[in-house]
Amino acid sequence: MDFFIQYINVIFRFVTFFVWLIHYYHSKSKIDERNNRNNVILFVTFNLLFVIWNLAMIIFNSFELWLILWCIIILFEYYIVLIALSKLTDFSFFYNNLQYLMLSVVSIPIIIAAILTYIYKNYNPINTVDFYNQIILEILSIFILRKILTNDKFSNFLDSFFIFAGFILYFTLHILASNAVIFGINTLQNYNFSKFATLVSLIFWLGSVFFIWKIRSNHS
Amino acid sequence: MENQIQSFVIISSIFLGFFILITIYLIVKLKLNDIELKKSQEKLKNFNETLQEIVTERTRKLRESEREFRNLYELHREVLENSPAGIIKLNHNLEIDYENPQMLSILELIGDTPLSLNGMNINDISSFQSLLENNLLNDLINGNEISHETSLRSNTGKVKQVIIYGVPIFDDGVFIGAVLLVNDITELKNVEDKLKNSLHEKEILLKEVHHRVKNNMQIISSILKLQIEFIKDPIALEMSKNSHNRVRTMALVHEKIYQSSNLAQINFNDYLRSLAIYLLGYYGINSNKINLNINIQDILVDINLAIPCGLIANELISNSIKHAFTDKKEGEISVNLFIDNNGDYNFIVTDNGKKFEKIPDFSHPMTLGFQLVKSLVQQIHGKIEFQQEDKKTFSITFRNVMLSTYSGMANNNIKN
Repeated sequence: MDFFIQYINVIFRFVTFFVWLIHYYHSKSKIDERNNRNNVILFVTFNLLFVIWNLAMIIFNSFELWLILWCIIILFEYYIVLIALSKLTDFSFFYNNLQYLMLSVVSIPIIIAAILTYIYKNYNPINTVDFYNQIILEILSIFILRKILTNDKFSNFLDSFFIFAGFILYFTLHILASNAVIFGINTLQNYNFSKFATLVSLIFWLGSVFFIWKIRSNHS
Repeated sequence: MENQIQSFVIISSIFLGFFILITIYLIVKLKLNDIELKKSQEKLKNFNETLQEIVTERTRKLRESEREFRNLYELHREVLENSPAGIIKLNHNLEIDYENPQMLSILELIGDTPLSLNGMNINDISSFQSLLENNLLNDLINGNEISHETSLRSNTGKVKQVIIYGVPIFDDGVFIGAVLLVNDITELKNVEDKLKNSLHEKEILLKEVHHRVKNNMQIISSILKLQIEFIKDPIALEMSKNSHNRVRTMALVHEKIYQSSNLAQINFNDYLRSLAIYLLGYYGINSNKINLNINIQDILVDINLAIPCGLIANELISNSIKHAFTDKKEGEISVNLFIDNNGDYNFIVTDNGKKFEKIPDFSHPMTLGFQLVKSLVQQIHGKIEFQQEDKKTFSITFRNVMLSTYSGMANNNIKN
C-alpha cells in the first residue's frame, strides 16, 4: 500500500503513456487532421519523457540528473504548446523560423534557475520559474483550447481538445499547489499537493481516451 | 494516519479527475451537438435555398409555359374567331363543344342576344340534316374525312349554299370527336351561275359568228359557182373553180367549229373526211374509180392550224383528182396524218397516179396551187418534201403550236 501511495504517479504516468500509445496506433487511420495527429504524438512523447524521468530518479536518485530532465521537460512543454498554437493559428512563419529562437529565449531563465538551484542548495529559484512557466503555459493552453473550440472542424481536434484541457487542469492545479499560492498554509507539505495535482491530471488524460473512443464511435 | 490522509487525498484526486473529465466530456458532447445542430441548420438552410431556387425556377418555367399557353390560346382563339369559315367542334357523342362566331353568322344566330349551339347534338340541328341523310356522320365516326356540298336553311329561313369539310379526331384509335368546317359559298355559287350563263351566252354568240362566217363564205361560194357557169375561158374557169373550192374549204372549218361542242378546236379526222368527200363529189369522181384512203388519228386541231392544213389538203387532193388519173381508170389517193415519236405532226398525201414530168420545186413554185401550199407550210412553221417513186408523196411536217391568226396567210400571200 505504501509502495502504491509512493509511486502512484509513476504507475499512472506509465499507464497513461501506454494507453495513449495504444490509442494513437489504434486510431491513427481515423484521425484525419494532421495537426491533431502531431499533438497526440507530442503528448505521447511528453508522457514518455516523464516516465523516463521517474524511472531515472528511481534508479539513479541524482539531483543533477533531476535538474537536467526538469529543464528538458519544461522546454518540451513549451515546445508542445507553441507548436500547437502556431499550427492552430496557421502562423506558419513562426513554425518555420521562430520556434527554436523562442525556445532558446525561454530556455535562458529555466537553465539559469536550474544552475542557481544546483549551486545554492538552500535557494530554489526553480520553484519561482516553474510558477511563472505554469502561468504562461496555462494562458497559452487556454488560447489553444479556445482555438479548438471555435474551429469549424472541432470533431477532428477531439484528441487535442482533451490533451490541452488536461494541460489546463494540470497547470491550474500545479499553480494552486505551488509555494506562492499555498505559502503560509502548508509550506512543508507542498510536494504532496503537486503530486496530487499531477494525479488528477493523469486520471483525466487516462479517462479521456475512453471518452474519445466513445464519442468517435457515436459520431462515426 | 498520514497514509490514511494520503489515501483519502488519492481517492479524492481520482474522483476529482473523473468529475472534471465527465464535465469536460459533457461540454464536448454539447459542443458536438451544437456543431451537429449547426451543420443540420446549414444543411436545412442550403436545402431551403435549393428548394427556393427550385421553386423559383419552377415558378418561372410555369409562368413562361402559362404565358406561352396563353399566347397560343390567344392565337388559336383569334384564328378560330376570325376565320372566314364556320367551325364546329364535336365531341364523341356528336354534341357541339364549340362553334365560332362565323358559324353562328352563317346560321344567322347572331343578334342582340346571340344563340349558342353548345351542347346540342348535330343530328338534332335541322340545318345539318343532309349530313345525316347522306350517312356522312357515320363516315366521320369510321375515320373518314368528308367533303359535302349542300344547302342549309338559316335561322331566318334563308337558304345558303355551303361546303362542309369534316375531319375526325382519334386518340389511340378511339373516336373522340370531329371538326366541321363550313364554308358559305352562296356568293360564289351565284357568281359561278352568272359566269356559266355568261359563258353559255358567249358560246352561243361564237357559234352564231361561226355560222354567219360559214354562211357568208357559202354565199361567196354560191356566187362563185354562179359566176363559173358563165365563164367560157378554160383557164379562168379552172381558177374560179379552185377559188370556189378554197372558199368552200374554209367554210367547212367554220361549219365544223359551230357544230362542235368545243369552239376552239375541231376533229381533224372528221374535217378531212368531209373535205375529201366534198372534193370527190365536186369533181364528179366515182368512188369506185378513185379509192380515197384516209388514215388520220383522232386529233383535235386548233382553228388557226385547221384552216391552213385544210387548204393544203384541198390543194394536194384537188391536184391529185384533177391531174393524176387522167389516163387511168382506177387509182388511190391516201391522206395520212399522225404524230411521230418527236411529237411532230406528219401530214402525208400520196397518189399512185401519173407522175410529174418535172418534179415540183417548192422553193420556186410554178403554179398558184404549189405557191399557196408553200405559203401555208411556212405559215404553220412546217417543211414540205416531195418524193416520186412508185407513188407521188407529199410529206408535210409541222408542230401543233398555237398560231396567232390565219390572217397571216393573206399577208404571206401578198408578200409572195
